[in-house]
Amino acid sequence: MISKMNKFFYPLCFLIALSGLSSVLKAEDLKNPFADQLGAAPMEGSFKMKGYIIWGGSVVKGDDGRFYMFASRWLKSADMRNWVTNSEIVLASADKAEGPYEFEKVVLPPRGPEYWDGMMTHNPSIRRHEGKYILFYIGTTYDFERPTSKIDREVYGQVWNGKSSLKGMRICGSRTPMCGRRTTATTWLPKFSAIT
Amino acid sequence: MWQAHDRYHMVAKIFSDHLTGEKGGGFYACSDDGIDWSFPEDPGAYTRTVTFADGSQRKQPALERPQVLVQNGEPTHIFLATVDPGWSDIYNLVIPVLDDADSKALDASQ
Repeated sequence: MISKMNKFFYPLCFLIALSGLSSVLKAEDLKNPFADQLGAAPMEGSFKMKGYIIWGGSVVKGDDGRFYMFASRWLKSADMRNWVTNSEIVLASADKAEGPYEFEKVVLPPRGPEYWDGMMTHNPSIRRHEGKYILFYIGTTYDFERPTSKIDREVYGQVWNGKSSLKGMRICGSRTPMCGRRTTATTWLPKFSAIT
Repeated sequence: MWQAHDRYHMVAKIFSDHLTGEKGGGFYACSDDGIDWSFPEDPGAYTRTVTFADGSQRKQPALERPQVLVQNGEPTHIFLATVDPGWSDIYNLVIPVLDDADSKALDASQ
């Protein structure tokens, strides 16, 4: 009886071990879900705000059936480069996935230079995970007034690189952008109809 | 990045043209463990030359920060940061991803 089992058991083990070794996926076996599957983009995009630069955007469907986008924005009257000092994360919503999304509120405004993300928040990505929404993003801080117009290259370099001082300028400290996450995103979105 | 059908999936911008034949386009990759990633034979996910709803096409100076909306395990929309030619506007652009039923209907209408 035992020898009869071994006759099947050992070859089976060998086959299982072999299949475990071939874990590298082969190109010809992989399907690209985007190949020849791109539709037409709405003319006006999905989310615009008059007077603001909008950068990026991450969407999740709420259990109320509506769609919610987190995006970065800053004043167009400043400059593209001002993302590093002026960006803030906002929430917008739409009835359809493709939008158009309507601004709802600023969710991560400046909250004080003592916080790592106290003066700037940027590049949000929203996920639903084990009964919570988690917002991943980057942020930074610096100890001067939030600029209202285009920052010069030195200020940009200062904040982007997190230098602690720069001769002849009133900047005393700044921190290079870092990554973080907020589960408070759960309170900004519709309640779950079921925990999944 | 997202997880579906027991695999991890990603869409990202690539600065060089070696994967997609275009500088600044987007590629798709997938992985069993999130550490070792593989490409399909044609890894292109999106291109900077966008087809709009009126049938026109336009090459965007920038199309970055792809974020994919996944519904029922399938990608349905790619959301992107974009810059219009001449830097006239900077906003979020969406490209819908057709499912097989959509693309059959589109083929039939052409």
